[in-house]
Amino acid sequence: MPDLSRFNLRDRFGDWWDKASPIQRGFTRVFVISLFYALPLINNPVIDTPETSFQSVLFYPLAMFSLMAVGLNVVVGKSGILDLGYVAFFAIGAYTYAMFALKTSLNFWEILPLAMGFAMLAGVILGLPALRLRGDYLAIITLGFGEIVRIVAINTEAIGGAAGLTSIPGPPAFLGHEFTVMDPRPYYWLTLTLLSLVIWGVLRLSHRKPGRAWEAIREDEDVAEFMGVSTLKYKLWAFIIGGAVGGAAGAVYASQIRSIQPEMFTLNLSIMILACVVFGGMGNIWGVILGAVLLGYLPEKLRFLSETRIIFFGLLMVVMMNIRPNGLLPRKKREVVGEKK
Amino acid sequence: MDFSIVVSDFASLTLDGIVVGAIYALVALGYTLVYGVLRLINFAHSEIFMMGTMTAVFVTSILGFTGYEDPLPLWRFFLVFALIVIAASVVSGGAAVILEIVAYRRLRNMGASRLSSLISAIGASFFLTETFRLLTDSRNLDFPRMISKEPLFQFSSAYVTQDKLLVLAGAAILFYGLNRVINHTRLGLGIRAVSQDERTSVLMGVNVNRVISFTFLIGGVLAGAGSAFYMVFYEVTKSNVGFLIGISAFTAAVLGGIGNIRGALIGSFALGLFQQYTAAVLGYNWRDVVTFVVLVLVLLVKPTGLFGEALQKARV
Amino acid sequence: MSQQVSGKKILEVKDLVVKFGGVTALDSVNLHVSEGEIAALIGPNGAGKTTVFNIVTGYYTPASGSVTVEGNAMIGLRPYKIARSGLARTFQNIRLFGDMTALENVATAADALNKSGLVGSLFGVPRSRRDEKQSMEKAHELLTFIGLDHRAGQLSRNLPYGDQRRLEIARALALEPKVLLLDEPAAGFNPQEKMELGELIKKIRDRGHAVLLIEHDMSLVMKISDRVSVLDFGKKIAEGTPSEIQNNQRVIDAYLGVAEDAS
Repeated sequence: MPDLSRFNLRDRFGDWWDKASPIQRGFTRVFVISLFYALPLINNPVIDTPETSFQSVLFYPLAMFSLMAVGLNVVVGKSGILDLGYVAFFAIGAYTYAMFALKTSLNFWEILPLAMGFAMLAGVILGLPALRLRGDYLAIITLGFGEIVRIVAINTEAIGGAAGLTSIPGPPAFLGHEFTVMDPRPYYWLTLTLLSLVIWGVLRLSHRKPGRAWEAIREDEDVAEFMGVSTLKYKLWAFIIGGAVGGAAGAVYASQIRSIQPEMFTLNLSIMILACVVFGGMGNIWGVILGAVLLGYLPEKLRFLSETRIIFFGLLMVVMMNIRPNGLLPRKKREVVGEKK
Repeated sequence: MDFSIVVSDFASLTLDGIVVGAIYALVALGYTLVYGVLRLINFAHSEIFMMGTMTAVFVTSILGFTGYEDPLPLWRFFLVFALIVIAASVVSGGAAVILEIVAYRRLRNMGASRLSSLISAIGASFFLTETFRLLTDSRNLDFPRMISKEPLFQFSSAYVTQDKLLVLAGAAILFYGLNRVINHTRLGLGIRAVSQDERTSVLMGVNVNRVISFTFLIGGVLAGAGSAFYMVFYEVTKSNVGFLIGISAFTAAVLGGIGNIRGALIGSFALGLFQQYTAAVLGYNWRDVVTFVVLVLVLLVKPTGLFGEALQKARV
Repeated sequence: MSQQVSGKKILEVKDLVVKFGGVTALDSVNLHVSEGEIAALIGPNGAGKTTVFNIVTGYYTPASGSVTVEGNAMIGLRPYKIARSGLARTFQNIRLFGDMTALENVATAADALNKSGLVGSLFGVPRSRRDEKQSMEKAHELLTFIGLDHRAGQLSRNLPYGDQRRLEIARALALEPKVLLLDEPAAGFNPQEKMELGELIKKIRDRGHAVLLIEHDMSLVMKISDRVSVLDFGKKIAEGTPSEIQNNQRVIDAYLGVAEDAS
């Protein structure tokens, strides 16, 4: 039995990538991105999912989970802050979009920044007091936050109460493409575009000062402070970014599904996204996307998994921590060993 | 918001608060004891409680209760109830010990990060909740009424009933028992030693693994017993009952000072009372939000709780 | 050696009282480090030396007393601000950012001195790009200075022990400290390595950083220090030149006394 804890996909690919020329890299990027955009056009029974159409699954859960996993990864994976209430940002984004879309004449594109803004604000509200705490306690508070958002939604008639909001309009047509209830594909492409932008942004930040600051915080928060890193500022930023991404995802989700209820935004969803991050590879952006894709797709494909989805996720989390705590694609860096002069 | 309710119903609210507080205490002790020895919040402790409630229902169904019987004569009730308490305690205690071995022990030996342990705990918690949700088909499970809930007497606005007295008496017995174990047995001494200083305990020859298993066992037994009392009082359970009770019990433990046994008791009663009073004014739907707010406030303002030790701050 | 000490006090600790629960860890301690000086802080185990470091760098707040750097009060400031004000430290048990490379460890500290923020980094504004370049150059330069340039791309957790200790020093230097606080930097070194460390510390001083050193190796302390302060049970019991301290009866008693009790 191979040593599961050390097998590293990343290094194999990384070796090739390092030796590749800019042209090769450019081609690869374009090729891969095109591949993902082309996915909804595939109509193959092998990958088809029994309950819902493959195109629909591509949008939710695959693209949605991926987007949220990347957002949560900034908080949990990169900065080492365990957030158990990520669904709160998703909910706030969804409700913000729904309320503004129903009560004002603003369209999706105009509301999207608002939805993200409210979620970011929530990130600050949650973040400021919570960040003075450590580990377990912080986790409980984030969990509480997620639950409070849901309970407030249930008990507040002004935003729909337990019945939620319905007849939410979709986005206006974009470049000739209509956003209809029937066709999930434009939503998928929209999410994919957002995902690409977020990936670009997170990677940029990761390779520079913010990335180093976050890593230092995750490695040893106290020492990071001693080395001049304002841990509060960067932890707050992690929450804000996580919130922004979650909020965006929520807005897109609401615009597709056209009706939302508080019961859609449960702790279970927070745990599912967390499972994607944990399983895929904490701190590794490609890992969490892989995790999201696997954990989103497999329960759709395999019916017995679909029923027992959460049981499977829970068990997975226990098993992963025991066997391979860094996930499928660990975040470990690739080392360059130089010669001593 | 009608505050006058608190005044007019003060005795009734207070009685209920103490009863609920006693149940919380039995669960909170599990959190606090485990935190004392492991410096870890056993996220899945709430499911240990839930499993106790399920066991209680199961035992009653095995014994043939349908819920439509007349109340039992007192001596028979005590017999049946003792059986339920023992069964629930055994199941919860055993589950707790198994949980420690499966979800935590290996990570502890590997020197895993706290994040890993916490994630493992959460995974275990969800695994158990969902498993039981499927087993019970997401239904509410009812507990047959076996003793009369007619008020024995009335004190101001409070109706004193047998089940409330049962909870209070039972909890008192268990607290006394816990005190004897912690303060008058070797393993109890081990728990106190490891809670204070694990490394020195090891050097002094304490078998830390056994102490930890024992701690989980005690916490599980208390939660199991507590679940039996819970069922007599509330008469219904569901697969996710652990979550809400757990949040309250955990908040109580933190309020009293996590790691501190006396604190867990006082925090539980304090929270129980506070919940009753605020629920009377704001309505029961906001009870959980209020509990969370209490938790957040305590953690922000005085994280050590009323009696607690200092929150872990590694010496640099 | 002494000529470089200008007498101007950079770090001043006055009447510092620190209590943990019922225990008084530091009892009215007075210390200072002057410009160009290599000062040493010695004393038996548990005397409170590392506590001084923890207070001075802002990890704990004292019950009373003051800590100033070039006259600016440090008490009440968050550690990261103190680090940026000129106090950088290393740790008794090495605390590097294990999963980061040597270069990244140093760069993280170098980053602290520039004002670039997230938004700037994201959009690649000129100032951020400049700061990024500067951090990287500074990190490389420091690694070269310390002799670890060939390790730049390696994970710091994989470095040999001696390199890890030196990397911690390089990381602290990236903060351009006015006073560099070294906590037992020679622990685990053999005599040859200790000698090299001594030379390194002197080179650091020559670069313009004053040094405050906690160390147990007396020969190292005596060889490179300009001035030595001695703590015992949280009190300063002596201060002077190395030779003065060596012959100080109270100091000898403190060390010998502890050694006898310990058996």
